[in-house]
This record gives sequence, C-alpha cells and structure tokens, in this order.
Amino acid sequence: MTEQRSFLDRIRAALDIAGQQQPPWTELFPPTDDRPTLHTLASRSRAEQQTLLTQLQSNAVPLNLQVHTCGSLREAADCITALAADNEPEFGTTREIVLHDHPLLQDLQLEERLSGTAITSHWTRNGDAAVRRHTQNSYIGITVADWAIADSATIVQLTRPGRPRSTSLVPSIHIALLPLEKLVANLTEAYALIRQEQNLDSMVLISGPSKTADIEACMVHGAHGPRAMHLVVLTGK
Amino acid sequence: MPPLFLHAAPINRPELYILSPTPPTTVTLFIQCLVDSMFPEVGEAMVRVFDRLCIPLAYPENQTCCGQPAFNSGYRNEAAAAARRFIEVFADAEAIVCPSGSCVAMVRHHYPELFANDPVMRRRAEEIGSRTFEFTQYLVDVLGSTDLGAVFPAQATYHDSCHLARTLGIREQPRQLLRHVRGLQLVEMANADTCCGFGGTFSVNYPDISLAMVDDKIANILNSGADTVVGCDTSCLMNIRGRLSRKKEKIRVLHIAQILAAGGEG
Amino acid sequence: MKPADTSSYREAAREGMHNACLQQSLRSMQERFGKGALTLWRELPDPELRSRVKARRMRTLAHLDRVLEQLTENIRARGGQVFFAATAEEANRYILALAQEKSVQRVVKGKSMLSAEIGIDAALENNGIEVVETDLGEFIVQIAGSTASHIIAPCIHMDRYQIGRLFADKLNIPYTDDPPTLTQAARTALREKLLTADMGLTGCNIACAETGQISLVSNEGNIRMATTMPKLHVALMGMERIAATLEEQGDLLQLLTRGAALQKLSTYVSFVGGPRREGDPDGPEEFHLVIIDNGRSRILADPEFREVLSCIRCGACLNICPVYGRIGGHAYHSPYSGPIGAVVTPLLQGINQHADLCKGESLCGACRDVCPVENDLPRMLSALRHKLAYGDAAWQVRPHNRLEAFGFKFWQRIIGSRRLYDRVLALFRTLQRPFIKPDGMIGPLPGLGKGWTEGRDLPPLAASTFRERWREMNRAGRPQPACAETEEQHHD
Repeated sequence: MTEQRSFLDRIRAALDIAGQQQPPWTELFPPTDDRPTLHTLASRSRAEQQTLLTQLQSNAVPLNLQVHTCGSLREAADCITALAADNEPEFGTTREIVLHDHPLLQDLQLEERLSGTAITSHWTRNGDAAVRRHTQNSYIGITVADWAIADSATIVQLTRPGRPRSTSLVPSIHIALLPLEKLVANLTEAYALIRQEQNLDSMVLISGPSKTADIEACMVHGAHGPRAMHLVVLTGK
Repeated sequence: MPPLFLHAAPINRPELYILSPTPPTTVTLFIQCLVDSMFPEVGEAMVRVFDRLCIPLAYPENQTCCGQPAFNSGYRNEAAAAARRFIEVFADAEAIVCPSGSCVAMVRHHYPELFANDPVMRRRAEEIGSRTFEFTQYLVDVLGSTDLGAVFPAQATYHDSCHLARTLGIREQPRQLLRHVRGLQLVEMANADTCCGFGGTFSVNYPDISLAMVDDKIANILNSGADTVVGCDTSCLMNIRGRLSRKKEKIRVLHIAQILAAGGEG
Repeated sequence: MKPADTSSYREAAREGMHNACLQQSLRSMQERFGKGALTLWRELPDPELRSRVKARRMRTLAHLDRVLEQLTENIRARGGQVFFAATAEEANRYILALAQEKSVQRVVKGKSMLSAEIGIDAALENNGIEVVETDLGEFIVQIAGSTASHIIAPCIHMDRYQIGRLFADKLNIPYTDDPPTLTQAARTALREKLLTADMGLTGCNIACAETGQISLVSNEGNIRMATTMPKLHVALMGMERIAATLEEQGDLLQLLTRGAALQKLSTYVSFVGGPRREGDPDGPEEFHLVIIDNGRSRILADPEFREVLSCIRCGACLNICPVYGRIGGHAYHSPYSGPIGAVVTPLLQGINQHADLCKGESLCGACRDVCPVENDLPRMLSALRHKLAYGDAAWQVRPHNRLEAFGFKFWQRIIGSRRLYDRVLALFRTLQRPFIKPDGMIGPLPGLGKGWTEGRDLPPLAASTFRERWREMNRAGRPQPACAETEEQHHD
C-alpha cells in the first residue's frame, strides 16, 4: 500500500494538486444519463429491428461473420445441427460440441436432435469441473449473445455463472444465438445496457471469427480463436 | 467628384474591375531569405503580378530572415531575436505577403509560441500574424482573384508544401489559380501533399532519409506525366530541383508566381 | 534496451531503406491505412469527435490520481489485485516474485509494448521461465530473435519466404510460404502453449475506472486465450492508459480501432477486472494489474509534453509518416517507433540518448493530422529540439551540439543586420564560383555542404539579391498597365 500512496502522491505532485481537497467522483465525472437511450430502445418497433438486422447482415459480410435468420427455434435448431454435420473437427477426431447453460439453448433441444449421430454435446454448468476439458475437445461452441450491435456486426457476451468465456473462444467454430429483440444500433446503445448490469463480471465484444494479417498483410481467418463464426438470429419463437 | 480607385481584377477582364473611393491596401512584400538570395526572380514575378493587379507595393529594405531555421532546430532564443526584428521591420505594414507557406506559418503560428511568457510581445506577434499572408492565399482569399490572365503552356503538377497545406490549410487556392492559367493543364500527382524530404537542416543532417523521400516525390512527379512541377515554397522546390538536376531529369521546377506572372500582357 | 547513438540510428535507418521487403510492405501499409484513417476522420459524422475526445482525455489526465484510485477500488472489490510500480525494476520484481511463488513455468504473452519497455521477458527468462509471444507477428519476431518494427504489425520487415524458412527451422514443419498454412502452423503450435501456460501476461489498451476493468483489443484471439486459460493473469498498464467512464472508454476504443486498422471495432474487445468467480470453469484464479509509472509522471508534470500521454498507441502516425515509411521501425531502438516513438522514447529514456529521434524528422505535420486524439507531435518534437539546443536541468539534458549552437549564434548576428547579411552573401557568392558546374548548378561539396550535395545539386546564390533587383525595377519604372486613379482615367 505504501507503493500506491507514493505513486499517487507523485502524480498529485506532477499535477500540482498535492494536498488539495478535490470534488467527489460523481461531480468530476457525472454518470452518463442513459434514460434517453433506454427510451429509444424500449420504443423501437419491429420494422426498425428488421432494418437493424439488414444493417447487421451487410456489416457482417466483410468480417466473414455468417448470419443466419431463423423464424423459429426449430429452424434455429435445424441450422445448428446442419452446421454441426457439415463441419469436421480441427483438433482431434471426436465430434463434440459445448453449449452455454442458457434456457434458450435448452429450448432448442439439440441433445435430442443429435441423438443417433456421432455428435456428443456438453453443457457448461456452473461448478462442473469437466467443462474445461469438454471445451478443449469440442469443435463447436454455442452461446447466446447478450446483445448484438448492428453498426459493427458485434455480439456482446457477458460472463455469468454457467456461461464461461472459453465457449466462444476455444472451439474452432463459434455459433451465437441472438433473439432479434436483443439487436441494438450501435456501441452507445450497447454501453447503455451494459451500464444497467449489476455486478458486472468480465465481458467480450466479438465481431466475427479470429483473424490475422501479420504475414505480408494477407488476411487469414482462424489465428487463435474460432476460424468460423455464425450468428443465428431468431426472428420468431 | 472624389477620386475613385481601381481595385484588383483579372487583367484581361476589365469589366470586373472594381472602383472604390478607398485606395487598395498596400501590400508589403516579405521576401524570405531564400528567395532574396537564391531565387530573386520569384520575388520579381510576384511584383509583376501585383503591379498588374494595381496593388501598391512596399518593400522594407532591411528585412532578412523570419527565424524559421533556428526555430525548427530548437534555437528559440535566436529565433526570438529574428522574430523581434521582423515585428519591428514590418510594424507599419497593412498586409504582409510572402511567397512561402512555411515562413508565413512561422510568423502566424510560431511567433506567438516564442513569446508565450511575454504578454506584450505575444500580442504583437499575434497581431502581426493576422496581417501576414501567403501569396496565393492573399490573391484568392483576400483579393478574390483567381484569374490573373496568365498564359503558360505546360503540363503542370502541383506539389503541396507541408506547412502551407497542413498548418495554413491552403490547398485549393494555388490549384484554383493554376486552373485559370491559359495553356496550362493541371495534372495531379499521387501523394501531392507528402513531404518532399526538405525539412530544413533535416535534409543536411539526415541526407539518406531526405533523399529517399525526395526520390519518392520525384517518382510521383514523373508518373504524373507533367513537364513542370509547381509549388509555393522555394525550399521544397530547391530540394526537388536539386535532386532532379543530379538525376539529369528535364522537368521544369517553378514557383507559382513565375507562372502567374507569365504572359497576358496584351 | 539497446543503447542508441547517432550512428545506430543512421545505420538502422539505412538498413531499413535497403530492405526491399520492408519498403514494399511499408508502402502498401501507408497507402491503405494512413490514407484510410485520414479519410475516416474527414468523413466522421461528428467532425468534432476527435477534439471532444481529446478534451475529455486531458481532463481525465488532470485527475489521474482519482481515476486510478477508482479503478483500483473497483478491481479490488471484485477480488483482483493491483500493484503500483514506480519503475520497470519494481514491476519486474513484483511479477517475477509472483511467478516464482506460483511455480510458473510458462508465460504466454499478449502483445504489449510496455512489456518490452520494462524488459520483463528477460527478467523471467533469466530465472528459467519460458516466455512465449502469442500474437502471430510478435511470435515470428520472437523466434527470429528480432524485435517488432511496427506498433500494430510487428513483423512488417519480414516477408513470407523468410517466415517460411523460419517456421521450417523452428517449428519443424515442411517449408511453405503460403500465409494461411504458416498461420495454421503457428495456431497449432501456440494453442498448446496457450492451453497449458501458467500465466498470461498482457498489456492494457484502455482501462475504465467506472467499471473497474481493463479493456484489451485483438483480432487473433490470443489475448482472450492468455487472459482466460492460464490460472494467473497479469496485466501491465501504463498509468495513463485509462478512461474515467465507460462512455469515454467507448469513444477512445472506436478511435483506437479505426486509427489502427480502419475497423469499427477489432474482432475481440475483452473487458476484464478480476479473477474467475466461484464455479467458473475458466478465467484466471488470480488477476493482477501492475500500474507502471517508469517516467510517465515526469511527462505528466510538464505542460509542454503532458498531451503525449493521451496517445492510445493506435499506430496511425506510423502509417502516415514519410520518415518512418522510409526507414521502418528498427531505427528507433525502442518498442515505440514512428512519430510517437520519436517523442515518447526520448521522454521516457533520455533526450540526449535519443537526440536523433528528436531531430530526424522533417516536421511535415502529417502525424498531427492523422492522430485520433489530435496530438501535436511536431510541436513536441520542436520542444525536444529546444531542450537539446540549450540543455534543460529539469530533464537532465545537456546541450546537444556546440558547433550547431555556435552556428546559430553566428546566424543570429548575420540576420540581425542587413548590411552584414549582404556582406556574407557577397562573400559566399565569391566562394561558390569554382563549384558552379557548366549547367549552372553546384555539384558535390565538402564539409558542411556535403549533406546536401552528395545526392542533390545546389542552385548557386543569385548574382544579385531581390533587394537589388527591387531597386533596379523601381529605377527602371515598373509598368502599371490599366491602373487608374480616377474615374476619368478609367475607360470602358
């Protein structure tokens, strides 16, 4: 703690404010007034949501983010099982997938759909010590985005119990499910929603699959994270 | 009847002459050391252009250098001495006009910095800065003249000098003037506003880097297909011309005043 | 850090200029990203955005003590640990002690210039700990035994063939020069390292005091791996890399990713500020934030240079600078290259030591135009030169060049008197005569004229000055066509 005190004292000396009484934090940096943004979000019509979806789709193209729109959970499940069937594991040979412990993913009933195939699915239940191993063995990780941003084709993924960080990171393919009503226009709107979160843990904004252009500026997808990313937008129930 | 004074107008379009009961502002020439000593023909060309526009001229004969070389090298005491002298020499001038963007940037932007701790001098510096103009800026923005009746057959490309373009924001004025020159076709080179590598003492202290930069500039000039390169700062032009000459390239290098003063007498 | 001196700057610059692969890469990089960033700023829907963000950034810096306290409080509340390091040595000592206490054998790194500034790799490696760079470009320069030459594109000085040979040699794969195949090879090799390392060591792009997090940007996902999989995450943060509020962080973030690579957002923006929670299968068991001064408070204290602390290290100035674009990053002898490096390296490491960085630019101002936070780097370079000219006790600067100083004293006397000025010109007019070539130009000169004339001709001094010609013109009577002083004399 003495390092901290002398460190901050040095800063105060540099700023020439040593020993001065300073105004309270909220006076120096008043909290952002999110009411107008939240009002905008609450009053957004279905048609406006559809417009945002169109924007998201076009912004996703240069990022190599595949967007699928599904009118029902059933369609979404079809889409995901097709992706699972059409892709091969990159590391190892077993076909395993890992899913966030999220009610919406439970509603997809993927386990039933996959029974009888060679694909095994694992839930990322809180406290389950095997999750890490399953995640490393899986070629697909499935999450539900907390929100998505149309302007930059980005999903926001908050870390919560049962929804760990590595599901969207370690498997070769990341599939994120997004209920259309969770689509917002821009980062400002997303930040307004994030500010409403109590007890915020870590989070990540993801805009497409992992990529690098470090070798002769040649764009390659799949550097360390997923080499493919699919966003399944649920436009109905 | 009170006398009326003829104000600036394109020489071959007398219908646009303006008559006013107030005489035109006298332009006081600020001929930077480089033009004075090495390229006096640029100063002469500027005089011819103003004469043609019926602008009364003054030239304080004891002027020398604005102090920029010292300032850019960090020698601010010496630069401040030059600035004080400049402010004295040009104290009574109404409008100070100079054929160099970097010298004008020095007066307008760096003189006040030099006197940051001297409120009286700082005010004088800011005040003189507000009366100091680069040549094409004065023609276009103050006099409103873009067509000076010049005739100059050439395929010309324009080099944006750094302080003119970036510090003073003057990019369009020279181009407007060139577009009105009879016989001159303006072709843009790639990266027209990238530094030519002069940079004052930089070019002498780091010749390798400076040469690599001017070689890029020259490649862009040659690729433009132009036979003439035009600029508003003789320092850049000296650098470009010096390299072209060493490489035995036959491209003309001219200050814009030399183009604007050409032809059109009839 | 290698000691830098004049010869090493010039020599490394020359090497850069003769590296054909680097030249080509720099050209295409500048063509695309430098110009692209300028276009982006020109087309911003809110033209005031950059100056507003800058003003807010300066305000945050003006309350840096409070902002850091707030960040620390919020991180500690989440169970994270914060250490304040006054110097590189203190930071290294803390991290090494932590690594030893936790029996760390392998450290995976996310790209961090600060880690190079403090020299943590050597501190760990000297104690038998393996350090692995995981950003592809940094990994390549690490296994090549080289250093990064661009803030964002570390291995811009190497081409695919060199990298192919390097990988064949170091990763034991068949030679290939196909970038996707090379990337896949690195992916496979580094995945194992990332999944088995004991410590992730990253920098910090922008911390946010309000939420008590640091944010990290990457496209590859290596930083997410390094902050998620190992049991320890240590983040290094320059004390100035902080936003007071999430709103400020958001503005800076968007300027950062646009300035760096014309992206609205990078692929990943991670926000972390503590250890994993009870029951989480991943995330670090311990999170340590090391906030580092290492010379920054001295910059903060100087109003002439405080502004440079608002830099968000996007690298846009490298992508526009015509000097960097010719010489590349190695000449700067610092993790910070380009125009920002030319200002910040002397301030952090010594102005005399890095005099060449202060003086080796043409002050063209392109970096000022492209800077997302509108830092006036040319102004600061000029201020650094001022310190070198006369010395400066507060910064422990000695006068840099007595000959040059004497030269400008002499120059001041000459331009202080028109008579003396004219006499000196007359003298030089005589002296230059033997050097004038038949084409009217002056060729190669010895001594002071060498720098100019070794690659360029010099136009000679004119036979007469403008002043003489002005007198001559007036004696001859200047033609004043069509000028009239009264209406009567004006004809239609």
